This record gives sequence, structure tokens and C-alpha cells, in this order.
Amino acid sequence: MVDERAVAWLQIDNGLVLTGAGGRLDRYGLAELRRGEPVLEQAFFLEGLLPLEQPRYFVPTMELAGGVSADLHFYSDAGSVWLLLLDVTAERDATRRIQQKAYDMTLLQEKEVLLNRRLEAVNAALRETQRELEASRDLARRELERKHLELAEARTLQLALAPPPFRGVVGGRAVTVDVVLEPAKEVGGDLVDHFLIDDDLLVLLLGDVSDKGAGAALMMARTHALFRGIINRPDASSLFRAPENAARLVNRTLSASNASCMFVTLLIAAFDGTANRLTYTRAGHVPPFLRRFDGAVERLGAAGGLPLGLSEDAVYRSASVTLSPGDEVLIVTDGITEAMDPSEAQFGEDRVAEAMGGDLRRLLADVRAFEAGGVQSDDIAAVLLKISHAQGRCPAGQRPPHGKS
Amino acid sequence: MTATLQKKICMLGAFSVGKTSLVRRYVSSVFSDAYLTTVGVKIDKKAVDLDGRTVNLILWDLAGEDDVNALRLSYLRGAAGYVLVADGTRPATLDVALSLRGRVENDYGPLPFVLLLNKNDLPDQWTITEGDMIGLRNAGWWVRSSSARTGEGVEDAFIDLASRTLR
Ligand SMILES: Nc1nc2c(ncn2[C@@H]2O[C@H](COP(=O)(O)OP(=O)(O)OP(=O)(O)O)[C@@H](O)[C@H]2O)c(=O)[nH]1
Ligand SMILES: [Mg+2]
Repeated sequence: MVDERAVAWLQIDNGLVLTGAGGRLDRYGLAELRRGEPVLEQAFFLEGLLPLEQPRYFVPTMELAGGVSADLHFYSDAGSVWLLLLDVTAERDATRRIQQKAYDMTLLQEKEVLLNRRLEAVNAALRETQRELEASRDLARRELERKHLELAEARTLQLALAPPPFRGVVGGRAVTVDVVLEPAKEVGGDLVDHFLIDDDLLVLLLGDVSDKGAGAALMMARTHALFRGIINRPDASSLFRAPENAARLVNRTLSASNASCMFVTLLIAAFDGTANRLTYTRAGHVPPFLRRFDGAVERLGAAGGLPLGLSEDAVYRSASVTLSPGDEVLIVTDGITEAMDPSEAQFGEDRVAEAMGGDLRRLLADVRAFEAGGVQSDDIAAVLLKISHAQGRCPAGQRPPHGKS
Repeated sequence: MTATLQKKICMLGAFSVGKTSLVRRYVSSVFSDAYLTTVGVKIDKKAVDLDGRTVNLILWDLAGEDDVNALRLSYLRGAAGYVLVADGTRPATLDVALSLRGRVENDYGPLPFVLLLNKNDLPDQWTITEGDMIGLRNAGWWVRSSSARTGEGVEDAFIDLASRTLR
């Protein structure tokens, strides 16, 4: 038992000189002690503890060289201090095992608390972000709904600009005019109109703005308004009888203030019922189709010029053809000729020619069948003029819908 | 023969703040990630050169304090100064350090000390603000952040404390 404790002792005088030592000094790394010399340099762990202030002093569990821990018992006695060292390494290790477990546990708990707090903070931040996201999504949704509503209104307005069909007499010649206008988006950039001047001149207009959507719709409305404005001029008759003049006028205005650099391809045709002549000007537009009463199809490809809006100095010409009873003139936009099937093949001009002889509904049905349920990629517009066989009078209620009489 | 000058310096702080690691870094220039808690006190010696004079620092690495094991203030008997250690990633250990300092001063009067906010190599877990440090410095304290892992701030603290124990 005593050996397990490995007792060692030191005797130190009042001058802090080591006067004696014995026992298991080696256990504590004190085998080399020199008696008669200052003790503090040999046993530096005593620094600060001597001289003793009380008769007894105790320092528990001090780890010295070699990992050995000792209890230090000091006694003062008759002018010297006795120091007893007892080995407590085993007790220390036992205590350490318990203490280590307790501290490791506490550290783990601290870590858990910290992690939870961080998690909570992250969660709160996430919730906040989510709230913000939802709010901005609601805002965007409302904005979108509003836009859709506006566009739907615009579409209604635009479709109202397309004229109704016309069945009537022009200069003693019975004719019919039918139109289609189908924007690809809510609003489109195609323009269709027809109106009578002086009872014997029927003017047909078909335009296509170089873009789609709202901007194109505005350009289209502007172009339309300019042509409509000409009707009320005193020289309206001469401007439309030679339609290159009307085209030149409108082109000049459009080109002078065309910040968006959009342009309009336009076909303007004037049918003189007295002379049976159709005079037309093509401002960059697809040549119209002329189907003769005998079924032969020609293209009206003359009188070409720049689209409207590109250059103030653009020069326009016109060309004329004589029409006979049973002839049909079809003016289309490239939304029809360039309609695509799912393999991106185009509807093409031949198919347009083949579809003639019927009405516009049939042409439209052919185009839709060709697209085979795909998306309409461009605005579609067309005007169809048919010259009747009948030498007509104007029946009641069949006055032309627009224009000066 | 002039006896070598010796100064007893105590390491004080909550458990696991790095007292033992700071002593090992300073005395043996090593660091270990393993945690072996100290029981009682472990004595080390480090000779330093101060103004051409060799001083032996006798380092008392004390067991850390927690709710159950209160510090035995008797260990501080004869200390020339002490190193207060807190763990910058565990804010509660700074409170422990402040409380220890109060108790030491109560029993032993004003002794030179330094305060180390240890483990500054873990910036993403750091919880002590620059404002906290400035507040403590304004109270006249010698405060540094340190790392037993990298050695940052360790030697400075011991040298500064040792030179103040000589005044
Ligand atoms: N990252 C990092 N870890 C450290 C640092 N100092 C100590 N540690 C780690 O912290 C844990 C505790 O270190 P110790 O030096 O044993 O702490 P102590 O203050 O002596 O602990 P007790 O003796 O129980 O009071 C160990 O796992 C060390 O590796 C440091 O500066 N940086
Ligand atoms: Mg320790």
C-alpha cells in the first residue's frame, strides 16, 4: 500500500535550501536532488509556495515530470518545512475518465444548442425569403392578368377595325369583297380595309407590319388612320385612282417619324367598275393572285416598290389589269404563303392558287389543316374581290360600308 | 552565483477553452486536436529571455472550471500573474473568464494578467464581436485573440505577461 503511494519527502530550511530528502524520489523525477543547495531551482514546481505562510499547506493532484501526479503535503516544523509527496496518478486517471465524459457530453449539448439556434435562424430567413417570393409572384400574376386583359381589349378593338364583307355595285358592276384578319398574338400588325370612292371606285388595302405584337399593332393603326384620312381630302379621288399617289403620301408621313424603324408592306388596289380596270401599287408586298373566270391563275407582280416607312424618297408606280365577270383577285399577307407545317415546310403560293375559286373560309381551312394543329406563327390577313356575272344595281342595305359617297 | 529568476504563471479558464493546448504550443510548439481534460494541475517550465535576462516561467496549467468543479483558488498561491483563456466560439466561456478574474482579485489582489480569446482559426464559428474586444480593452485589459492551432498571438501573450511580472 505504502509503495503504491510511493511516498517521498523533502526537508527545506528557512533559507530555502534543501537539507534532506528521501523515499521514492525517482517516481517524481527528483532522483538527482542536491542537498545543501537552493531547492527552488531543483524543484521548480515549488516556486511561489515557499516560504510557507501557514503551518500546513496542501496542493492536490499536481502532475510532474513523466506524467505522474502527486498530492503535496507541506508541514512547517522547528525552522524547517517538510514536504510529503504521495502518488495519486491512479485516482487522477479515474477522475479524468469521469470528468472527460461529463465535459464531452456538455460540449456536445452546447454544440447541439448552437446548431439548433443556427438552424432556426436559417429557417427564419428561408421563411422570410419565401414570403417575399410569394408576394412578388402575386404581384407578377396580377400584372400579367392586367396585361392579358388589356391585350384582349386591344384585340377586340383591332378586329373591329377589320371591315365587314361587301356585296354591292361599283360603277354598275356587281362585286363582292370578303376579308379575314387573324393576329398570331393577341394583337397583330396586319391591316385590311376596303371602301368606295365616288360610287365607281372600290379601294382595297392590305398591309403587313414588319413585326408582331403591340408595337406592330400601333404602326398598323397609324398607317390605317393615314389612308382613312385621305378619303376626306378634296383630291381623294385622284389620289386613289392613281394609288401610287396615296402610297407616296402615306409613305412620306410614316418615314418622316419612324423611330422604331418598323415598315409596312402594302398592297393598294383600286377597282374602277365603269372601266372594269384594277389599278394597283405594291409597296414591297406579295403579288396578288388573279384567277380568271376560266380558272387560269395569274400573279399581279408589276408596280413594285419599297415597303412604306423606310424612305421618304421612295418612288411608287402603279399597274393595271382589266377584269371580266367571274374573275377573282386575292390579296394575302405572307402569314398565309409562309404558314408552316410541323416539318417547317411552307404553305406556298401554289397552294394559295389552288384554294381559289372558293371562298376565304376554304383558304383559311386549308392553311389551318396544313399547320396541323401547330402554332400560328404570323398574322394572317386576306382580301378577296369577286366580279359578278350579273350587271348589278345596288340593292337596299348593300351600300358600301365605308368611304365618301 | 545569482539564482535564476522564476515566475509562477497560472492558466485559468473554463474547460476545453485550450489552456493545455496553449501551453503545449508555447513550450513544445505542437498542437493536437484530441481533447484530454486536465485534472488538478500540470506543471511546465519555459525559459524566456527578457531584456537580456533569463526568466523561468513556471506554468501552472489548471483544470478548467465548470458548474461542478469550481477552481481551487489555493493553486494560485504565489502566482506572479495569470493567463485568462476563453473560447471565442463559445460565448459563455468569456463569462467564466470574467468571473474567475473577479474571484482571483478578491483573494490575491490585482495581479498582472492577459485575456486570450482562443481558437481564432475558426472564424465561421466565432461569436465575439470586435465591439466586445474594444470594450474590454477600454477597461484597461490586455486582450488578444489567439490560436493554439496556428500559434497566432500565443508567444506575444506570455512575453507581455512575463515582462509585466518583472515591473
Ligand atoms: N481549432 C482550435 N482548437 C483548439 C484550439 N485550442 C485548443 N483546441 C482544441 O480544444 C480542445 C480543448 O483543448 P485543451 O487545450 O485540452 O483545453 P483546456 O482548456 O486545457 O481544457 P481542460 O483541461 O478540460 O480545462 C481540444 O480538442 C483542442 O484540440 C485552437 O486554438 N483552435
Ligand atoms: Mg487542460
